[in-house]
Amino acid sequence: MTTKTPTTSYVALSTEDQALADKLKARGELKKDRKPVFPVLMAIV
Amino acid sequence: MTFSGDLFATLDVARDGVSAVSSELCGSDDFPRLLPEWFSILWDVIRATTPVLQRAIGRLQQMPQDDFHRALLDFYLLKITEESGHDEMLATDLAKLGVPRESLVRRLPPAPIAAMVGSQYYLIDHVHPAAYLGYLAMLEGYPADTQKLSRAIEQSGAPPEAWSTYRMHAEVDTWHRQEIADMLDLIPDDATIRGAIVSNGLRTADYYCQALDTLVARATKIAA
Repeated sequence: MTTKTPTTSYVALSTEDQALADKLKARGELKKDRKPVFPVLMAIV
Repeated sequence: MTFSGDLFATLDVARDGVSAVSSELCGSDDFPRLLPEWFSILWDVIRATTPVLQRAIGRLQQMPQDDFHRALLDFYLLKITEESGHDEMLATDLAKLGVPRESLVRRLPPAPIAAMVGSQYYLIDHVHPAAYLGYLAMLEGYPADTQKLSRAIEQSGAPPEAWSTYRMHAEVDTWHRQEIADMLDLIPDDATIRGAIVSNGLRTADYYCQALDTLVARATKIAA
């Protein structure tokens, strides 16, 4: 039987991924002052 | 913290990025005019779900049949069952907006969407089939708030029945997220696999934002 992984699970982001996360975060920060009246319209699978 | 907790904590900022651009789209006075194109983008994505899952399953069947790979195989088999027919449902919704199915199957998706979906095959074949979990986590991990979705439907000017597929996902993705989290917490402590899952989730959000940027750019006026 597979077991759940231990708690030391942090995966350090690569430089490229950190830059991507920062870019996405900056997008979100721009709109933070607006009232979130609409949902997140994610793509669906 | 579990790996799923780590992953979703990282993807939360990506969610915020998608939320920002999707709010611009939804809040635009042009949203009704742009709705069919946005739904067409959703179709570009959802039409590939079963083929990509089949690719992942085929790849897993070539790998050592240890507990982890068997669990992942079972999970992807479950996903195929859960997602079966959703592309046809969305095509039916699009027909209600005046978009015929023939035009969907013949269209060229926006480049970021082709990259977002197409890269899944690459990652499955050349990194690990588990990488696809990053894509699923991003796209199923943040279902639309149903109350806010009602507002978006109203803003679109389209009949609610044209939103049937999207509304269904807003409901079922609540437990799909938990299913994904449970699978993520079975991922071995392998930096390559875990890193690929995280990276894939972030890239998925970025590609999708790029596709929405194009739609937003077409909006003539953003509602205040």
